[in-house]
Amino acid sequence: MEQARLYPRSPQRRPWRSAVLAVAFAALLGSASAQTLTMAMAAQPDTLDPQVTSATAAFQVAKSLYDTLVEVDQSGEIVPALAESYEVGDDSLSYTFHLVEATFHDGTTLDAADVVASLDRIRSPDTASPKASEFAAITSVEAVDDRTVVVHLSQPAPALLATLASGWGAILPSEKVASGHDFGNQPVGTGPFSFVSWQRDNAVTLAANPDYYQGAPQVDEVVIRFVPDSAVQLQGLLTGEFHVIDTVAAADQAQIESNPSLALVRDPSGLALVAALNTRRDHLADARVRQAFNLAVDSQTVLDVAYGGGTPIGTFMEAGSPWMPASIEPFAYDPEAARALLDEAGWDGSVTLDMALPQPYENHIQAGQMIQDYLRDVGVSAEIRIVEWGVWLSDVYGGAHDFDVTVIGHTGKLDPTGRLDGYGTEADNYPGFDDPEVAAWLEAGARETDVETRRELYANVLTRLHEGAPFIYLGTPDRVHARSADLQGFWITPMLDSFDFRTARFE
Amino acid sequence: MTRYLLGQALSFLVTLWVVLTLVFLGMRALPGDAATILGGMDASAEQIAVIRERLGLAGSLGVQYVGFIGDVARGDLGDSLRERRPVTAVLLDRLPVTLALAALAFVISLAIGVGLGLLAGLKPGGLFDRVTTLFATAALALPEFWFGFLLILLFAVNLGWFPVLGLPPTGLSWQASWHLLLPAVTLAIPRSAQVARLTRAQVLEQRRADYVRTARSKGLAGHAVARHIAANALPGVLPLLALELGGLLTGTIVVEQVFGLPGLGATILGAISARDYPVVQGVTLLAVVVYVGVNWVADLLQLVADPRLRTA
Amino acid sequence: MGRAVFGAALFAVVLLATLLAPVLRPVDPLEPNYRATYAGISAEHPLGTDRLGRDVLSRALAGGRVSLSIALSATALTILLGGSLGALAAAVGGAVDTVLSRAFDSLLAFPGFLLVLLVVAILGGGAAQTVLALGVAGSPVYFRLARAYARSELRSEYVTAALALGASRPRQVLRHALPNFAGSILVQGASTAATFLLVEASLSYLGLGVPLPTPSWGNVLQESRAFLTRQPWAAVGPGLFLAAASLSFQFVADGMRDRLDRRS
Repeated sequence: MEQARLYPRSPQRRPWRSAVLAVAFAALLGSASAQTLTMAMAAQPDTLDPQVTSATAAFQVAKSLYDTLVEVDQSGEIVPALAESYEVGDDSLSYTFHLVEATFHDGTTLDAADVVASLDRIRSPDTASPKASEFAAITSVEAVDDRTVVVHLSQPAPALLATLASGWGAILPSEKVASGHDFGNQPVGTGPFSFVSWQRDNAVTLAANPDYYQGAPQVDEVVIRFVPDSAVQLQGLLTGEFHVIDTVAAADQAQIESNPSLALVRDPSGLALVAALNTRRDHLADARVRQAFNLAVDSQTVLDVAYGGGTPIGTFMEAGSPWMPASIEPFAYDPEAARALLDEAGWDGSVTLDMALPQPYENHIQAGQMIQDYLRDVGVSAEIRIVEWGVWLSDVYGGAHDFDVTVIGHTGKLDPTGRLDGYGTEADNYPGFDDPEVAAWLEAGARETDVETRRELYANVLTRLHEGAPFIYLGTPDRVHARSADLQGFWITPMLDSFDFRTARFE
Repeated sequence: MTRYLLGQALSFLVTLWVVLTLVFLGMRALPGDAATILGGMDASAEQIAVIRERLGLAGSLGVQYVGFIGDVARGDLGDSLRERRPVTAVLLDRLPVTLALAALAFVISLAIGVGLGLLAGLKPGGLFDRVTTLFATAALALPEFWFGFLLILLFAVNLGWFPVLGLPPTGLSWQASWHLLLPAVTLAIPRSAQVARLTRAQVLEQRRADYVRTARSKGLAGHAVARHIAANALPGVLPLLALELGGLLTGTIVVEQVFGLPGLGATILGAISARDYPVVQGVTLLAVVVYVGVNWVADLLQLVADPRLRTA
Repeated sequence: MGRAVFGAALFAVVLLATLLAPVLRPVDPLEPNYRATYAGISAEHPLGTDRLGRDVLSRALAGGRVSLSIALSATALTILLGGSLGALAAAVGGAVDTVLSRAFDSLLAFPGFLLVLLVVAILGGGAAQTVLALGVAGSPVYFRLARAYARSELRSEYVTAALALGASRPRQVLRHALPNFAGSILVQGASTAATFLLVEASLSYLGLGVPLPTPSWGNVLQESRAFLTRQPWAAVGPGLFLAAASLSFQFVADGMRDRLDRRS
């Protein structure tokens, strides 16, 4: 076999043969080294600074760049992360965290000062974090020594660990925090992957961090591509361009399941999909009317057609939640009973409900149209008004609450306070549900440290929310994603919905 | 001549000022602002107020407006509220895609339009001419984005020759021209129809000219005459070509949406729904400047092409 | 001439189809059928169904009514707006003329589609807002046209004579100039209507025009985009109607333009 030469002996002497050999050699080398995992996701982060945003897409990417003191494991439990252990003070007014040994992507070592700097930064008005109120109970953060941090609280905060386990609890390097570093475009953390580049509207490229404290990742590179169209995502999966996709249309599920080189993964999500009813309005003030609406809508069909499958719920908590009282059943689909209940409540058939639906969410729009149809069957007419997202946030969800019915999903929260806060005081929740007892229970629950007592308090709240029905409860949709069959170890964080590539590998 | 140019410049600045003011006011008239959107569903009203303060949206409208005009006059387009980096950086990121698309579409419409127009005009009344005229009318009536769908269905989905959407993972590069071909053709078809029509009309006009009769009567061969006709017809088409380019640079929005291309169209649409005022203002400014600039060039070319129009 | 007739005939067919849709095809365009989503072509559904199981053909026809009415009313508005102001500018002259001319020139300097997009976005989207935005955006052409005609008429001999005899300027403009611009306006109008139809479709496609679930050709096409690969007829069908309507306007415009050219 002729040796591949760097330069051919002479131009006419079949240089292509050496070229072919060179390429083959390089390919052989190449396949043993750089393993790139490519993922397609529909939304795009607005920033990679976890302390200035509330967008899920941002945290989905940031998950690989940063770590938190505690984190959520695959079964949904909060377990130690950067804090290898912690103690709660006797009066529940302080948490002491003991840090692991870890390094940031810029080479600096993790120490208590970093935790102090990070927690101070997210609480600072200069940062203006949308999540700052979750840290409200913190009065100060103190570095006892290099590896020990104490967080002091003004009142007991059982939800604190949940906050610290969320994406916005990310720990940033203190030197960079002090120098005003632009984390949004140049993220630096302790995460399993370090930042390489971000081409807006195209892709984020991450490189494996060999010094990751939980062990180096098994892929060398992760490329996350932004592909809003589920048909294009699927096409990329089929051609092998993408190894994982995060959006699977209901109608495509069968095709993926029957394909042996692909895998469809269906997990329960943490979402609570609801059609909110504005209880402030006269015609919606009677709880019987709202219960009737729940009976009129076949929530399982809505889940299947508009959201690709899911589990109905009977109250304002995601299906399968440990906080969901066993006694609460989802409302049955019973149009007869609905009509009877409407009659009993004296429903005025001349009223047309104003249904405001948020424009960017096609599945909510679909669900809204289905609900309109179901309501029509029991003699209730509704008119649909598609509303732009900014308008929805400021006029429907907030502001004057200009709607009768609206459809939206409430993301999973690690602690019930995240979901239920404000749902007893009319001014603090968008359906206007007002119940002083519920408000009292919620306030007590936010401070209660005994798990059983808390469970009871929230069970009472949820029972009231079932009976009072300020929502038409649709259900918890399945979180469906698809991957190539040879990709193992990729998982989506329960409740938080972020992407975890730490154990991802190709078999 | 200078008076004319100065007058034009003044008129342009006034138009620009009016447009920017209208966009400034109009965007802020929409319910919801960037702070509300950044806050999302979980932020409290106080939180949103803090964010609003941080973004510089809390001051009175008048103060913000004065600041805005002052900044623009100095060439500072401000920072994107959503991406928290300079608007110029945001624009520079997306501009290449739109430019590449417009350029490709321009070249294609030029080639097809002038080619067809010349051939049709040189043999008026013939079969080719009639087919071209028919094509031109049909092409102008075609809804661009629907035509884009058809191209996708035929070439990308059924034949698989092209990717269905978007750019390749490496972003804009020479490989990307393959990805840009279908959208460029979509944009080019109606424009080539316009160009073909005008070219044909110019050629017809040239054919009636004295020098053609003279050349023919002197026995000059057909194709030599044709070359002269073409050479004289083309300058008349230049102004339209410039106009078409201007239209292309500002008219890619819908096609970018259909083909999932991350250009300026996607940027302004996203900025409108995110209430990212500086980006909306920036893209508008850029579009007006480019469009007016290209129109000026078209006017100048008109003057060059037809000396009769010069009054100075 | 043949083209104008063909165009008019085609338009009539499309118009009648959309107007008579409730009679010819009594299927509710808003009626969902969750068991028959994304269905292909069948006897029951000549163009298949969309993602909620609604009949695509009736949505295309109903959408036609909406789109055509928007395009036609916007055309009427723009002719009225531009035309009346143009005639006014010519009749009154002086400062009014200068201001109006400058204003319309500025409007013309703005890239068309972007202008309409911004106006509709700022007005919050919707059918009426689209008509308004289109009406304003298209008016400079008619302003210029009307003004040019009015000015040339005012300079003509018989008008000069009438004015010398004491007749009022505006009345002369109306009586004499109007019939002459009618021809030009029809030609331009047909072309404008075609453009407006496509612009409305584009706006609805982008989500800024007619809001769902009311179908318009644009938003039906936008909905169908998500399942282009699964049920292509949901996209091809309504598009054909749109293309046919637009084409018919163009043919009418072309045919009449030829006829007018030949006459003058």
